[in-house]
Amino acid sequence: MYSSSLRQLKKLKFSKGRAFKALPFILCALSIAPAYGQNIPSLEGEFKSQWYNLNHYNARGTSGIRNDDFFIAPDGRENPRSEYEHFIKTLLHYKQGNKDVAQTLCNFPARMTLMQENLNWFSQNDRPSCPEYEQAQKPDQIKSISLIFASGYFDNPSSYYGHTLLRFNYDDSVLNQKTLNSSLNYGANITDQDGTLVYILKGLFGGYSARYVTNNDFIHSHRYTNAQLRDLWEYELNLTPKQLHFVSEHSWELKNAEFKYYFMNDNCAHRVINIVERATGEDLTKSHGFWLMPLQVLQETEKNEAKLIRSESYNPSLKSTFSARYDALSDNERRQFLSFLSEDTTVQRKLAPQMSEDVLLLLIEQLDIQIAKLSIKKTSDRNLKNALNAQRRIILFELLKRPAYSEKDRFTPPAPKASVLDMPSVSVLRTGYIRRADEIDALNIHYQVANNDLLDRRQPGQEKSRFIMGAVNLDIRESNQSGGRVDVREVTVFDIANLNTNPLPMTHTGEYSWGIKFGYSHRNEICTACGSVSLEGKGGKAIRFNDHIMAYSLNGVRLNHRKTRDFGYTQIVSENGLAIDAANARFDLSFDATYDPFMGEDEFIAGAEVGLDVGKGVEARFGAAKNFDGDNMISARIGYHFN
Amino acid sequence: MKKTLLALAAIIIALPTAAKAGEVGTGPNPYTDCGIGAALFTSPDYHWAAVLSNVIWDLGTTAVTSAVSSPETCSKSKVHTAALILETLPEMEKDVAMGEGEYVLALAETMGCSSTDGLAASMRQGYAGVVSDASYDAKNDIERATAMYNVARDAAATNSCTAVL
Repeated sequence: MYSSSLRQLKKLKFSKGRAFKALPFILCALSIAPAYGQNIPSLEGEFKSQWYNLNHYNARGTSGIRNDDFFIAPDGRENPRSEYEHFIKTLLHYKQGNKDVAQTLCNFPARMTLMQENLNWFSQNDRPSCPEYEQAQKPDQIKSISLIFASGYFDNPSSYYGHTLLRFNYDDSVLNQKTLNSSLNYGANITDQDGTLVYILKGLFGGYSARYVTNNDFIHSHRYTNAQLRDLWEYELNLTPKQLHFVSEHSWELKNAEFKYYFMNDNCAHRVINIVERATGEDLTKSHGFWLMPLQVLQETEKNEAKLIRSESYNPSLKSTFSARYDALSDNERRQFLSFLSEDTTVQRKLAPQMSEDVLLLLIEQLDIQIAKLSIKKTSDRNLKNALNAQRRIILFELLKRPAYSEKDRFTPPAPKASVLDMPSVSVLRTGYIRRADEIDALNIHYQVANNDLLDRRQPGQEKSRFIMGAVNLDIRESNQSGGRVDVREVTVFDIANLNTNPLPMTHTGEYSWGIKFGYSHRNEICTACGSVSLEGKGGKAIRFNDHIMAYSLNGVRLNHRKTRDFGYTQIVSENGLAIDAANARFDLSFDATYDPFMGEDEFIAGAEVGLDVGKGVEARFGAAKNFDGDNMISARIGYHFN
Repeated sequence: MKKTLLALAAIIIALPTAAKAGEVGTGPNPYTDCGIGAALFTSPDYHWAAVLSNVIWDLGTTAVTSAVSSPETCSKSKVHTAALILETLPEMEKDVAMGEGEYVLALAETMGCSSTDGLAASMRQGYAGVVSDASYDAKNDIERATAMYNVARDAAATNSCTAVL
């Protein structure tokens, strides 16, 4: 056995420099080895892959975990073999009776499991007792793990990508599950010291460290649904007991790990599902580009051959619950509700006793949404908040005067209108025929990184919006010279229109709409040779008549880097439309105006466009537009959504 | 002599805490003495840029950690209860006003109460007094949470809940 261990140790390849560093380990291991007759497998083949997997080493042997103190070996971050040797040494020390190293081992339960499976001298009984891990994680009572998706943040398109986290679900033997720190979140370590631009740049280019944290799932979910008005979607994962065990143990190890945060691709979506990837060996982060979004992760997890999603459930936001509650009221109750909101507190005190509990609860939710929105917008209007609290007090007091009221059998929480999994993939390639002014026929190609425009299907629970991050639009047409000619129509960096509509007959905090756009683009879809790099900012209002129809108007200024066809550097722009959503089609009837106050030029364009779902991830679009000079545009294109 | 001086120093240091404790009843106020309020309102969660990273930090984590490190003044159950109330206050108030709901259930679990019904009934009675006071309108979140915490603590005592608050 001794010679066997010696052979194993000899197999460990050291560089000249590292040989000295490894000497104490070798001497120590040699001194311990004979006592237990251990085998020490060399770091090769499948075992090496598993070691690399556990410690996030890339092919070059550098770990994605950034903090050196995560590792046992001083050079462990960049030397997988050294880290392995130090870990084995620690195991041997513990086995020899040195209990001081128990805490170090308890930081690495997944490593211990790996060693248990590969070392004949290290069994379950040899593991140290790790009460902190056992009590916090309760690994033997984990029934399943859910992937949670939080929809976009109210009024903030940068969060429209959503957010993902994991949650441990325990079996019935674990009481008081609401009080457990059972959700596992990944995020950047942000401070208040950086300015806005610095935040954006650091977020995009890895300027922030990031880590995993566990949270009280009840409080955490409440923050999403009630404080930020985000719907939650829960996907219970179909994992084997061994995989569940791995996720539990490895996530515990990662609590001490720090990473670099990259908003585009090394974000919550990547790191959260990465633990599941390491447990299952499946690739769940496929993306044709360098980006990775939560929706992509969900869709790839669903599409995976391992059938990893067992079930889907929905946890509505306060706003969704409020809408359902409002819909359940009678006409008379709705009138009472609106009447209360329009009165001052003196009258409200008289009205409250006449109202049903259903109306009172709706009123309190209305006020809570307003308060939540004040918090989201960071408005520190103390007087407004006090006024809202005064109204809340009237309702609370009225409810407290009455007997306890049970909502069971009286109100059903809202069901989702569709599944997030059924949404089209985030990127689209669209191509087809287009004819613009001057009777020019062209093949149009449009590639959009993400996410949606006004003709795309709305994500469930999310308001209609335009949120394009990265797009290229080209016309390929015949030229007088030999071959074709490529006209770059658009290179969009971002194009956001947040319409912020409200399907209810009351407003919360103004509900204004706004839009911002930057990139190279033509002034409109009709004109040719009218492109420039431009920055556009707009504000306005949108009205939702019902769940299917809304009208919007956005007005603002566009700044161009050059003059284009009678228009100068500055224009006043107006984007107006009527958007109609049907089951498998969306329509947009538009009327846009451009006015150059310095050149005295104006232009008015009426247009219509329809987007039709013709298959899973496949859409057809037809459009037509005409300006008052008689120039027009028609288009017929087909698009394919993919990740 | 040395021991007397040390004892005197300990009493002097303890005085402000005792005074604060006296304001709210038994023990320190978890929001002012256990760091929960400070953790909440100085948190990055309240900076818009947190949206950029899509991260929502668990504000209770810091408070719980500090509480664990000083268990004599801030027991774990005290901090958990206080954090739950502060973080979910509007819904907690609504549930208390109705006399049932998942927030009251979570509170009952956190405080180790065997029955939610008894707790909810006691809290309804106690919180009616808080809401009937006109000063409620001008109270900030921490002040309202403190009022709710005190009501919950009293209700826990009368309903044989096991948590030490």
